[in-house]
Amino acid sequence: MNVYQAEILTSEKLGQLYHLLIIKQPDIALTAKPGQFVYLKGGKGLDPLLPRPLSIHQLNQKEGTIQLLFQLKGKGTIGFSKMKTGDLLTVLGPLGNGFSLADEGQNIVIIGGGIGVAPLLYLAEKLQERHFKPIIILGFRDKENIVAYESFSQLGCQLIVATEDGSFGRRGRVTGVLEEIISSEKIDVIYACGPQPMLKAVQKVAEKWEVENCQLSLEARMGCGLGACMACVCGVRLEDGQFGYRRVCSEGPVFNSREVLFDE
Amino acid sequence: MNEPNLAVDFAGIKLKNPVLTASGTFGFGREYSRLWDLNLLGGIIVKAVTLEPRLGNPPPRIAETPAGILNSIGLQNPGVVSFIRDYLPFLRQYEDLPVIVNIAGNTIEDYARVAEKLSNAEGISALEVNISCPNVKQGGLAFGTDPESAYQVIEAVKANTDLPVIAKLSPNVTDITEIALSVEEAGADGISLINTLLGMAIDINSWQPILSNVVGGLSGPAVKPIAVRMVWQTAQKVSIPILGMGGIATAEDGIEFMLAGAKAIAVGTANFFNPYAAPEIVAGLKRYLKEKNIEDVNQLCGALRFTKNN
Ligand SMILES: Cc1cc2nc3c(=O)[nH]c(=O)nc-3n(C[C@H](O)[C@H](O)[C@H](O)COP(=O)(O)OP(=O)(O)OC[C@H]3O[C@@H](n4cnc5c(N)ncnc54)[C@H](O)[C@@H]3O)c2cc1C
Ligand SMILES: Cc1cc2nc3c(=O)[nH]c(=O)nc-3n(C[C@H](O)[C@H](O)[C@H](O)COP(=O)(O)O)c2cc1C
Ligand code: FES
Repeated sequence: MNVYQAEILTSEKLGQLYHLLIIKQPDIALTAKPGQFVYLKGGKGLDPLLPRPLSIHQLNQKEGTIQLLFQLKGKGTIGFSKMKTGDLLTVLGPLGNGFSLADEGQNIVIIGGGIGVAPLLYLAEKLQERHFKPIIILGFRDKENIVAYESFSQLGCQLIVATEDGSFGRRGRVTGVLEEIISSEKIDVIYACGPQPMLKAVQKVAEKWEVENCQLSLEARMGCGLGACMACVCGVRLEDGQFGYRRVCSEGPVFNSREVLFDE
Repeated sequence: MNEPNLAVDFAGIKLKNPVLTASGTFGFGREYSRLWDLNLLGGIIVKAVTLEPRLGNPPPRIAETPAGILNSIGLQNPGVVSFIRDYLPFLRQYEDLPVIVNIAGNTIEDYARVAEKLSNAEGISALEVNISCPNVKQGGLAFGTDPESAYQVIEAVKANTDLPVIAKLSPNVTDITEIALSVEEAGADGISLINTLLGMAIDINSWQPILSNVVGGLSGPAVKPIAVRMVWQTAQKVSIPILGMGGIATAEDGIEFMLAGAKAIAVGTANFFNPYAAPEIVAGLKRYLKEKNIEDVNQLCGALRFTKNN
């Protein structure tokens, strides 16, 4: 982990909502694990002031490159999308704990909602490399909101896409699909990233079907990104059963669904 | 020219340079030590420590504003016993790193007990008394906005420690010098200026405040002019040294504080957007002194010049 100046190699608009950046940073490309993130700032300007956390979407170790896939939200992400090939980004990373990979022979479901699919591509690739056959479920509001479909479909895993309005793939929510799968075959590991309501629903399903290893990747507003400022906490049940706060940046962003206490 | 002198004596604490890290922005040092050698710092001021562990406020605890941030951490910390047992030993490995412990409490008695406990621990150079936290319901800011309460807290801490005591003041007052004079009279050995300014930010889509605590403390480059002004006003009135902070992100920022009257400076929010800010400021300060042919950094302290139009 360190601070690097990374050159933008590709900057690509993906429809109205999303953007893809490919940056050159061999150290991070060599060491980053699935589920880890980088803390990213463009230039030395004071507005926006803070870096922005973005997941490692994919990386290429041979070329020393990292792909970042993000939704255009506000000053930070819109600013990144306006940067050009050859521009430098300041990158702190890789940060966070990342997903812990399943044990041999386990059945895996990967669930992503909206831009929450970003960290799941690299995860799915790593799992495939290790000869797992994860089932991937991706959910979006509607057809216009679909992102990274091509990349996921090229993996050759079983891929199920659901849209809330049925404009693409199955109509409905990802957690509906998840329950269908769990009720017909034993699932040992769930990996999930997406908006909080989706993660809450996944947490419920995991609890109901007693999936012990359900890993949720959380989001939180950050200050330092390193674990020093206590800004980015989420509520958890501690080992002793007490309520407490953990830092998403350094103790997460991935937590076991059994410890996470949303809305507290 | 010889290397300029960067060492300063702050309230009896020997600092090899005048650059410290501000409380709450640097944890207990461990995280940033993964990036650079903490021995580069003049000193470290750790996160507020309280008598009992504190859970802190619910998230969201931070909101970005133009050139600044609002925070409402609410003093989450492991408590004084755990601090001494689990965090202080790590800092003791650094031989040349004065450790200043920021302390907070709900009652005057709390402050006194924390001060007492820390005074019996090894490896602490001074206490910074936080009478200015805007993010807790009891104590905190209430002590820092009333000269009489501020006096009582500092007096109680002084009575329970032999360590130098630095009073950390709140900018959320009409006249900062009134509080400054009061803590000086109570025996404070130094003054830290400024803690965060009370602020608020609203999400115009949800019509809700961004922070769960509704209001929070503003820090970062946006507050720098206010901090410089308060350092300057206070330096006119007190004879104890001032530790200046509030928006310092570069050596140039730090030099402004020193010219206004600060003997040492602390880097806070800048650590978040440039994790190398503090060591870069040390290097930049040295470069500035060389370029200007100034032999000793102490020559900057309060050296503000006026023209006939001032
Ligand atoms: C570990 C982690 C990984 C992430 N990975 C991705 C990713 O791969 N792709 C992607 O599109 N988004 C990702 N996000 C969310 C992304 O960080 C936010 O969308 C982004 O910070 C918004 O910044 P902005 O300036 O565009 O929006 P604004 O709303 O203007 O941001 C204002 C402030 O709020 C913070 N903020 C706003 N929304 C979020 C959020 N959802 N999470 C955390 N902070 C937020 C910003 O960082 C900034 O400090 C991730 C978040 C986390 C915590
Ligand atoms: C996230 C955060 C946490 C803070 N926690 C403390 C604290 O525990 N005790 C304290 O005295 N000041 C605390 N402060 C205030 C800073 O030490 C400093 O006085 C203030 O932020 C102004 O400096 P800056 O603009 O360089 O950050 C905190 C500030 C921030 C941003
Ligand atoms: S962002 Fe500072 S502790 Fe997580």
